[in-house]
Amino acid sequence: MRIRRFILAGLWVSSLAAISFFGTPASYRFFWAVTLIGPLSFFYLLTVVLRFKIYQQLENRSCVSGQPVPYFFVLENEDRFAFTGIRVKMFSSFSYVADMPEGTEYQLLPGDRFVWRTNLICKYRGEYEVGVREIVATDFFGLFSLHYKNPGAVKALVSPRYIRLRNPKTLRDLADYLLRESPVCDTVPAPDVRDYSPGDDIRLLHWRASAKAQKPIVRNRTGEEKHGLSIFLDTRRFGRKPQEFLPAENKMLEVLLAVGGFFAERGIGFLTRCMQTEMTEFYVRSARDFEPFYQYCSDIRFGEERDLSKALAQLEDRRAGMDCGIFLFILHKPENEFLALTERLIRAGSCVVVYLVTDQQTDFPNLSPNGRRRIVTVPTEAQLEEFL
Amino acid sequence: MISPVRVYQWCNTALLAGIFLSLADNALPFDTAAALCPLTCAFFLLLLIGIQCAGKKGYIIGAASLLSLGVSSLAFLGPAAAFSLWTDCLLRILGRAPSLPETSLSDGIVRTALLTAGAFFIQAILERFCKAKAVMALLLAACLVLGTIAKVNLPGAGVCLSFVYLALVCAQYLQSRLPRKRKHSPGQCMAWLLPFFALYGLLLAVLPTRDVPYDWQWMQTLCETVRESVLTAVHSLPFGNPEDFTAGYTDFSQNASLLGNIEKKEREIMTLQAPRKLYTNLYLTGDIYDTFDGRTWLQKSAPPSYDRILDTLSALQACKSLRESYWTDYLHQTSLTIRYLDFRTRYLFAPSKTQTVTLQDRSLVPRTQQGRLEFEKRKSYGTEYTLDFYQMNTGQDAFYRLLEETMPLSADGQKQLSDSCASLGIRELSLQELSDYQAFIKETYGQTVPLPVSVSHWLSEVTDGCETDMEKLLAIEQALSSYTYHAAPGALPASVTDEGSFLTYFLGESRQGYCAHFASAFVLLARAEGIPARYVQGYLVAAKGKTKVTVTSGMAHAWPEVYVAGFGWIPFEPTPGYGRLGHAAWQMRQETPKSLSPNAAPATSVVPAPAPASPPEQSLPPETPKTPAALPGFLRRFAMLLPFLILLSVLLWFLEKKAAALTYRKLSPQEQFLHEMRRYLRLLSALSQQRKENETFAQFRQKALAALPDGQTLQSLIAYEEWLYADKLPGTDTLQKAREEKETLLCLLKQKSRWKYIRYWLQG
Repeated sequence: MRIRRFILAGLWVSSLAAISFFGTPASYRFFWAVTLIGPLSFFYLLTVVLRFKIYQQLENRSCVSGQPVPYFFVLENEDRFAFTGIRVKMFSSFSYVADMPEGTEYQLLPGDRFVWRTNLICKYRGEYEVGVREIVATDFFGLFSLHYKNPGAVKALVSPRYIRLRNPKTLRDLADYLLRESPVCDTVPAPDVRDYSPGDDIRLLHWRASAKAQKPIVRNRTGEEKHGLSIFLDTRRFGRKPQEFLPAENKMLEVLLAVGGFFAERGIGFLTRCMQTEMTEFYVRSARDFEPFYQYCSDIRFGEERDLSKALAQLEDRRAGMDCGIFLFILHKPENEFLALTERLIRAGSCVVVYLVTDQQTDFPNLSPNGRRRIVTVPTEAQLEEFL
Repeated sequence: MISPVRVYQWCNTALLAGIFLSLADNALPFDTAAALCPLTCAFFLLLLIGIQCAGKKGYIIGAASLLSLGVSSLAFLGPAAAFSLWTDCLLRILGRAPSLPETSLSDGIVRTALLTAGAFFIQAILERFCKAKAVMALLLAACLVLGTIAKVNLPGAGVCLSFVYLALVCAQYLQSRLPRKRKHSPGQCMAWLLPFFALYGLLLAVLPTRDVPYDWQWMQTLCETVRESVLTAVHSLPFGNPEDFTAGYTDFSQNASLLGNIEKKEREIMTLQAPRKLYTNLYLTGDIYDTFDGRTWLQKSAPPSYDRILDTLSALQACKSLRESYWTDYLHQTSLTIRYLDFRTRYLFAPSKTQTVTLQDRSLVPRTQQGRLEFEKRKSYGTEYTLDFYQMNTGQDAFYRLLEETMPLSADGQKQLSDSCASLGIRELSLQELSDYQAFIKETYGQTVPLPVSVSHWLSEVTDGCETDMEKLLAIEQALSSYTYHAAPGALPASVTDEGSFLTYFLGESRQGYCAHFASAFVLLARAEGIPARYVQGYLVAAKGKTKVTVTSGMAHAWPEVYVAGFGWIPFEPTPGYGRLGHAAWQMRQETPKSLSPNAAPATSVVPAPAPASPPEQSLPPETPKTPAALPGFLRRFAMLLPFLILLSVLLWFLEKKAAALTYRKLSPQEQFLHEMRRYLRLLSALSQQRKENETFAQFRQKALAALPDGQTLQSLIAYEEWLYADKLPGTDTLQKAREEKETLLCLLKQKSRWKYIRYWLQG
């Protein structure tokens, strides 16, 4: 395109020379002929942009990140003149379309259709525009192009992805420990029994009573339920542009879901806390609670106004939290208040595991791992199985 | 249904026909029949297109068209005229002279028809050979360029159509070259862009043209305006010396010290522009001084604000009263526009005898402050003002005689002067004020200078024999101008402490210096003779005979002025080498007496050059009527060109074949297979086997096998179908098989219809 523009500029300068030195009607017509090319091209492009229509359809607006969603998109010329150069640009920051040739320029005569039935994959959780971002129309001389933003962009509501961890090296020993310690302990002997209900933990089966009654009988536990595991998610938003905060937030939720799913599958109860407008909690006892837990995680909103100090203070105030044996923190940036809290927790005898979702290779001298503190750095685009 | 490609080709044909018709000078001599030209062209074009499209039907349409043409000519022209017309056309085609003298109509029709047919066939060839089309476009462009350079009067319609054709060719070429995913050929695409090119052609036809080169004066004015604005802005920035003065350089300065040495520094500081050539050189007064301490001139007493206008009016009154009819021999009124360039100053430089100053369309009487004309604020680049002043004929002896005759103003004279001031809007000056002014001058500028003995003797020798003050002043001027001009005379010695010691040193020891030294000496010597004199600094501009002058800083000068009661201040020029500059003169109408001053320059007349004589009118030769070229000659030329056109077509066809073969060899096997299959399908089409839109290749194959003679397998159709829909790439075996089957089909076609075979072979 640049070469053609140079040629046009050269011709225009020649036409100026022609009308300056020769001054014949032919030279003036030569000048007008070259000068009119620009306005003619612009007029053509404007006509194309005003008349061109984009048709696209996403099968389901709600989807899960990383999961392909059927996507239909057609380029069609419904008008009575040719579209000599049409190029389609898709939203690519947070989503991509499978098998979509990038950079191809299409020539559409009246009645021509190019149809794609493919899949669209959203990379991060959140609500954002997907599909066709803009159309670039090029004129018939290949001199100028006009960018036409798609006014009817499709917005997808993307839920976080659940990655099932089979054998996470960072959680294996913790799970074993928690299973041994039994999160549900008897503080008061409970002679009460009741019939077994589907979903009850099989460890509650009272075998002797069951043998007697010839049906499953479980203990009716009374007493304090001790939460062995507490997970805290830092919901502060860092960055103003979606390209800055979406990947990290998405990965943090994936870590939460993956870790939560791992423990829920093993029947290890845990308490999830995060700061929304106020501190919210969600307790998961078993795999049965995982669906509502997933919904809870999908509804978590990050925000710039989240106050970490207030969250950590509330976290400390809840006495039950202090009784947990293990604390999992999912953060993007550690702050001094957080570091102080981890110290207090460690001094109180708890174990702390910190999942730092960041791409920066940063040393945290005050957050060095020791026997009771474990730090796992998870890059924002990492495969969780490799890091957890 | 007519395909878009055909429409595009016909449009190209029409363009070519239009170009040929307009460039071939086929204008019919009859104005009333001029409209027939495009109609005739359109008719023949449609006829040819119809024959091309319709095949057998075309012949019928052609015949019907000829019949309708015959009927319409019968209806419009009448039987006899129509018969004559058609006979003439036939005779012309056969190359024989027609019988009727009025042959232009038939001439035009036949020529139009032939050119249209020629355009049609040429376009058909060009569509067949893409490179020929490029060659044609280049030839057309070359014709336009050569025609422009040679200033040939190319017809407007032909030029417009040429540019439209070139634009179409360029666009088609670019569409075929640019990487695009497309389903159709570039020709089809171009057909759907024709409305835009029609608009382009229309605009090209209606936009104005000229016969003369374009005048870029407006651009020059714009650039000049921008340049002026930028320079004005730059020069108005507040840095540097507020008065643009650097000590030690020749330039105007508020400081009137006699420096040791000076250095030249040339800067363009202002321009002077006059409506007519100036009669004299100009002394532009800047600042005036009254007191000298031996080294520096100072201004201790400020003259009244009306002293400049009073000076001017006094001189005018004296001239008019003493030389009533010939006063213009002594004072010549003119105007001058001064524009500052690389200059920052508050001074308003003006010659002596200035009457009005026009600043920003306001005409003002000059009023001085501290003896100088000043702006309210410092001015810089772009400042412009106009002066109305009187040039003095100081180079003429008669001028000095006039001065000698001038007397101090009487009561009537003072009254007259006062009235003159009032007429200019100045408040009426009282006689007392005028008397006080005279006393001021005498007191301020006429201070007695005590001369040392040596200087006194020197002065006595110089003025020996002089009777009048003028003679004395001229003698002093002459004596000083015999000294040596030196830009670096050295610093004044410590012994110079007053006027007398300065004169002693300068006249006795040094005898050299620059303008300031000489002006100072003159003023002191004039005062010693009891004549009021003052020291002035400004610019001396060699403007005689010019209407525009650029003043440089090197023109800064110092000179003395002497007061003549009743006339005003008169400049003198004692600096060696400047005499002729300072005493320029113009020719007097009145008879001039013998020369009084050796410094007087020979009077030269400043008469505007006579207007150039207008060239005699040349009579144009009578316009001879243009006779159209004889048709047989045109036909002969066409007949001579025809073999070359045929040869060219054959050559181009041959080259095209070779190029296509080379291109084919470079293709990959899959692309070659595609190429073969296209020919394969064309062959089948020539054998009247065409695949319908909703038919699969398998079905088509079955249908074709049933219709064609035995021995055909058409396996390549299966391979083609597999490649299109099953992504099964054809190998070299498949390619070879396709070639063999194609050859078989070709032999079959040759047996079945030789004409179709030739047509297929020509198409390639």
